[in-house]
Amino acid sequence: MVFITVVGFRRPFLFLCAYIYVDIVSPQRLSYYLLSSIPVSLIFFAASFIGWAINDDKTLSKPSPRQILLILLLLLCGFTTLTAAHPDAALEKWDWVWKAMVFAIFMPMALYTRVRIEGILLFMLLCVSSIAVVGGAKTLAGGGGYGTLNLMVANNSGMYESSTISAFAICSIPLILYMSKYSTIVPPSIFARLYWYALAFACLLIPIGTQTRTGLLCIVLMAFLELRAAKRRMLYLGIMAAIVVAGIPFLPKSYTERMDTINSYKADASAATRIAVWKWTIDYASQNPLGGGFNAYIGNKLEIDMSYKTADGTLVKVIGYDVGRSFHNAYFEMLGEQGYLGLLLFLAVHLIGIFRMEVVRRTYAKHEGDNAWVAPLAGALQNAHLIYMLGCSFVGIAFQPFIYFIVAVEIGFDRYVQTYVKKRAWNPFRKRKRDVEVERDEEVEPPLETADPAPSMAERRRTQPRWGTVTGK
Amino acid sequence: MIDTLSLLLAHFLLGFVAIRLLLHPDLNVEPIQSGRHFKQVLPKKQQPAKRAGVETGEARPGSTRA
Repeated sequence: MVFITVVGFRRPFLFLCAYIYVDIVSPQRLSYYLLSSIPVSLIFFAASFIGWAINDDKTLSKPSPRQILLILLLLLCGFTTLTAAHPDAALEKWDWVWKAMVFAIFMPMALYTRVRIEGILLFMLLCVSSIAVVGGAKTLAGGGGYGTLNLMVANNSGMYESSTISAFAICSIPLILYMSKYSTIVPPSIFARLYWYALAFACLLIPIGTQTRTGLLCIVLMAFLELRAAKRRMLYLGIMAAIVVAGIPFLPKSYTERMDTINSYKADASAATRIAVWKWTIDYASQNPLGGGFNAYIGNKLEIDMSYKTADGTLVKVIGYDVGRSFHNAYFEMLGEQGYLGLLLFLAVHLIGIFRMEVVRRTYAKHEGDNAWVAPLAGALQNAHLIYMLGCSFVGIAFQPFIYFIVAVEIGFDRYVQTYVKKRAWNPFRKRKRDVEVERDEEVEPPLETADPAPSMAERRRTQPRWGTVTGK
Repeated sequence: MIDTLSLLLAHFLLGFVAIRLLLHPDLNVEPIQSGRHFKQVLPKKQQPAKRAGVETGEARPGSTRA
């Protein structure tokens, strides 16, 4: 971090990378007292903005529609914080949410070259790797369990929370696979590829180590999405089937037992509580259409139906009671905290991102040569986003900075493609420059002929030498 | 042990990427890749001077004068 701070004065873009590092790895939580007492995140946030203002090209910094939506969402969050049902709890969350959102609004303006886009993605992936490699190695060594896998930090919160890191670790895999093939900063060599594949494997182990059902669902979706991108689909299917068949016997029993509860969710206390919270949120939003501000869930009082049928068909009625349970779903989190308008903005930001990446992916799918990387990156970002959209159905990660980094990269990448790559896309209605010039010449030539008639013999005699050459020399 | 080694590896790689970014010539400016190749432009070849009337077949000024 000190190293990046020093070199940041030479290349201010590195301050942006340092902010991402601080946000994902949270070195202040890993280290001892000194660092934890300094507002590192705020310092790098300010440094990256000042660096951009002083050094960077600002010709491409016009706000895109998604940045405007993010600004609206930020304003709405500010408003709901002021009118929050639980002001203290709301302010606590607002403290880090505003930074994540302002950074997501700002970051696309700094991502105007391919190297910058790749650099940010590399930093994001390597920061995730600092958590994923620990988790993967400990899972392989036999440690793990829901909420018990020690990921260096004792408290189960932020990126270090089991379900959150599971979702984001799987979310990173498409980007890791992209980097293994197309990175220009770390060119694909045998060592680079080995590392990227090992990291992807470590990310796959995270949901197993943390025993989260969210992670398993994300893995299934990721496998399905990668099938779309695979060139040899039958080979891919064969490898996947082989991994599943060979891997299941090695899975710990506690993991398979926990995954079985996906089918019997009604009898599972965790799943039943989530359904009860979601029902409460719908009622709450109908009474408070503008939401109850951050952490509005504190006010819920739940009656949880955990009835189940025994083997002989007898219905056992079990009712549980709970208070202040969190949303466990980003969509309901937005609905409960920011109301219908917040949910609408949230969906717009994410769905437009996914749609735009699909447009870019399809447009440049058959491009080769210099632009061969465009479609795979669009596909990888889209897959990561889709995995997040599934993962966030089971975890309240609507405001996690990592997904806003991906949104920001998507906006920057989309703008990059429109600026530097679009010119070369096939367009049947495009007029070539040379055709335009020919047309212009045809239009201009006739008046020239009338304006400059052939000189008479007398004029020639006056202007040209009597015994000269044809060229007049 | 695992924690320390993984952190060291991640930080080493982060440092490596930071150096690559620091030294990358295209970090701040996107290189222009038009895909067009221009041939080298050399000075025009000088044509030998042609005498009017003798080599070009053009009538000399004043030749039609009676």
